[in-house]
Amino acid sequence: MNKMTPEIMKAMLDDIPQNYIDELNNADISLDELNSFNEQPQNEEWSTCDNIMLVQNTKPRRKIAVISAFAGTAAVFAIVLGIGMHINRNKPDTDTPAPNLFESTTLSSDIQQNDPHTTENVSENITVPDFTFLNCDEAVDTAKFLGLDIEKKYVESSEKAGIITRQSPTAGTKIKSGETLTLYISSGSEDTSPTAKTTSDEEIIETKSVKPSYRTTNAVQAENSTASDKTTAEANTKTTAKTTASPKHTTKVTTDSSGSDGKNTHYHSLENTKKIIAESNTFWEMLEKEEAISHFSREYGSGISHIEYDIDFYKGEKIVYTSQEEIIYYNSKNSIGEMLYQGRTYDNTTEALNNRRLEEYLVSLGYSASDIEIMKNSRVKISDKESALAVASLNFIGYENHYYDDEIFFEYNTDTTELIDKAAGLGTLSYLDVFAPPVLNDEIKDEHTDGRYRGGRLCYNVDFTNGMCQNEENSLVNLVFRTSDKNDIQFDSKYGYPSHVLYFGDVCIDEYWDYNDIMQYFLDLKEYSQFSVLSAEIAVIIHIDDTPTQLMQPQLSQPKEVFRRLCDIVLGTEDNFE
Amino acid sequence: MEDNDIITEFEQRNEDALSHTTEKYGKTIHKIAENILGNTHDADEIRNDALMKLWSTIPPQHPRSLFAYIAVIVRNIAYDKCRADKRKKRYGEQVQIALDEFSECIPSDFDVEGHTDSRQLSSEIQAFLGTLPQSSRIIFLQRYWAMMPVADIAEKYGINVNTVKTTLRRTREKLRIHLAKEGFYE
Repeated sequence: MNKMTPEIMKAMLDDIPQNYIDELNNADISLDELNSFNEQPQNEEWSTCDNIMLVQNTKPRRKIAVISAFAGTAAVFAIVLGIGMHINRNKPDTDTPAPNLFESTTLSSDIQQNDPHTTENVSENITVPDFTFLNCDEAVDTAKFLGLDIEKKYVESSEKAGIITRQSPTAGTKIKSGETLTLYISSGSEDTSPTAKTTSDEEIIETKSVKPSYRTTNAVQAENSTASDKTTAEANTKTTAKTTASPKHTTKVTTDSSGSDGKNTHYHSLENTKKIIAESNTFWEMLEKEEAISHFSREYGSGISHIEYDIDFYKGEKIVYTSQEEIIYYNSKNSIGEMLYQGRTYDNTTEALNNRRLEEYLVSLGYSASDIEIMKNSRVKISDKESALAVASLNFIGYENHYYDDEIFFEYNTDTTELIDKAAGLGTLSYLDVFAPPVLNDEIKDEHTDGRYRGGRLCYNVDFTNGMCQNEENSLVNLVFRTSDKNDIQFDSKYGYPSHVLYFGDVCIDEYWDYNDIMQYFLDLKEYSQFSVLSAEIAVIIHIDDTPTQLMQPQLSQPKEVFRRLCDIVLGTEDNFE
Repeated sequence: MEDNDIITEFEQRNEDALSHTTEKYGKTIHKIAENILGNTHDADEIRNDALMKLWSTIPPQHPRSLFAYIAVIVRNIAYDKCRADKRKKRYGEQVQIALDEFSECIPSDFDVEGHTDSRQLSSEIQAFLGTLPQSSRIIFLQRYWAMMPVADIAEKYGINVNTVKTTLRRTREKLRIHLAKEGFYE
C-alpha cells in the first residue's frame, strides 16, 4: 500500500481550476448525465480500458499496464511487424492541457498571490513589462504579481549591484502566466559608490537626504535595552498613532534580550536574557488584560491580529545590536520592513532606491507627508548586518518576498543531507528553511560570496509532507542554521562582523501551531544542536494592524505559556517541561 | 448580495464585508472545515481564520469568484490545522474515509513523496477531471476536495445515496484507468 496521507490527497487536488470549484457552489447535478455516466460503458475507449489489468507490484514503477492476452498478442504481432510503439508518460495531454500543479502547490494556508485559479490577474496572455534598470526586488514583485516564474542570473555589469541589466523575454513579448522570465541582474562593478553619477542617481541623491532620518538613535540611546516592554509598546504606540489613516500596516512590538553599554551598542548576554525575561512579566500582565488590547485598539485604531515568537541563539558573548524595538510597516504584498532592512544592509544604491520606493508606496497608500516623516523618525538604527539579518528573519513568515529571495536557488546537495535529515526528524515540522554555512559547500561559497552577503548559504525549504525541497515561501516555521561551530564560517571582513559572534539559530513561530509541538521542537533543536547558549534574543512580535475587532480575539492564544517555555528552554531550565 | 459588492467592501476596508461574507458563505465555510476537521468547534475557529485571511488578502487580491477563493482558503487552513494537530490525529472522520477511497486510485508502488511523480500524478488527475461530465465531477470534488459525506452530497443535490456511491465508484475506476493509460501502473 502506498503512503498516501491526507496532505498528499489534498495536494493531488489542490490546483483544480477555479471553475470546477465554482461548480460546487452554483451548478446542479443532472440525473440524466449521471445515469448515462453510470451505465456500463459501451464505447470503444471503455472496451479498450476493460482489457487493462491493473497490477500492483513492488517493482519500480515503469510505464504501462499489463494488457490482456488478446491485446498482448496483438502487441507481439505488431512488434513482429516492426511497429514500434513509444509510450511517453510525459507527453502533454493536448485535449485537456494540465497546468503545472505542483509548482504552486502549498499546504500552507496562504493563498499564493499568483494563484491562477483564484485571482484574475493571471491565466491570460501577459505582456512582459520592461524590467531593465529596475531594482531586482521591485521587478520580482511585479513579475510575481503577474504570475511569472522568475529566474535570476547574476552578471557582471557596470550597473549597480541588484539592477536588472536585461531580461528574457524582452519587454512587450506576450507570454502566459507561469512561464519563466529570466532577469539578468548586475552583480555590480568595483565602483558602487553612491556618488557615481548616473541618470537615476539624480533621484538617488535627492532621496539620500532623507536616509539618515530612517535611523534615529533616540531609542538606541537608552541605557539598557531591557527597558520594560510596556515602555517599548507605549513608545511605539505614540509613534504610530498618527499613522493609522491608511489600511494595512502592521506594527511589530518586540522585546529582546539585548543589553547596552550605553554607547549605542547593545550586548546579548545571558544576564540580559534573564533580565528581560524577568521584566517581561509586566508586559504580559498588561497584554493579558483586556484593557491592553483596548489600549492598542484605541491608539492604533485597530488591534492585535496575531503574535509571533522569535528566538535567536548566539554562541558568542556579544553582538553589536542596536535595536531594542522594531517598528516595521508593511503591506501584505510589499514588505516595507524588508525593504528597509535590505536598504540598510545592501549597498547604498539599493538603499536609496528602496527608501524612495518606500516613500512612494506610503504616499500611494494615503499617508501624508507628516505621517511619513513620523515613520522615518520612528526607525531605529540597525547598523550591523547581523542584527539586520536577525530582524529581517522575522519577516519570513507569510510573506512572499523575503530577505533571502536571492538565495533560494540551490539544488539539493548531499553535503547537507545529514543536516537536513536530522532537522527533518524534529518533531512534526512540515516546513523548514535551512541555511547552512558556506563551508558545507565550496561551490556555493564561490558562487555566492561575491560581496553581496557575508557568505554563501544553502537555503532549502523542505516540505516534509511530500519530502521535496522546493522554494516554499509561506513557511510557518523557519529554522536558520548559520553555524554551530565558529570555525565553520568565514566572516566577511568587509562588513566587519565580530568573529566571535555566532548567530546560531533563529526560529519564528506563527499561528496554527500547537504549543506542545513548539516546545518539543525547541527541545529537539537544542538536543540536536548541542548548544550551550551564551546569549539569546527573544522577541515576541505583536502584529497590530487594521484587523477588525471581531477577528482579534481568536488570534490571541497561549502567548504567555509559549513564551515562558521558550524562555525555559533557552535558559536551560526546561526540566519542568511536561 | 453579489460577490463583487462584498469584494468591494473588502477593498474599501469596510468591516461589513465580514458579516456579508459570513451571511452568504458562512455555512459553506463551516461545512468544509467541519468535514476536514471533524468537529464543529474547530470549524468555528477556521471560519474566523478564513475571514482574517480574506481581510488581509483583499486587497490586493481581487478574486474572480469569492466562493472559490474562500473555499480554497478554508480548505487550506483546515488542513494546516490538522497538520499542526497531527500528533493528536485530529483529522476528521470524513478525511480518513475519503482517503481510503481515494487511495484505491493510486498505484500501490507509487512514490507519493516523489516530487516529479506527484506533480505528474496531480496533473493527470486534473486532466482527468476535465474529461468527466459536470455532474460526476461535482460529486467527485465534493467528496474528495471538500470532503463532503456521501449522504450530504445526496441530500444537497436531491439524488439517491446509491447513485452518489455508484458515481464515485465509477469515477474512481475511470481515474484508475486513466492513470493506467498514462503509465502510472505497471
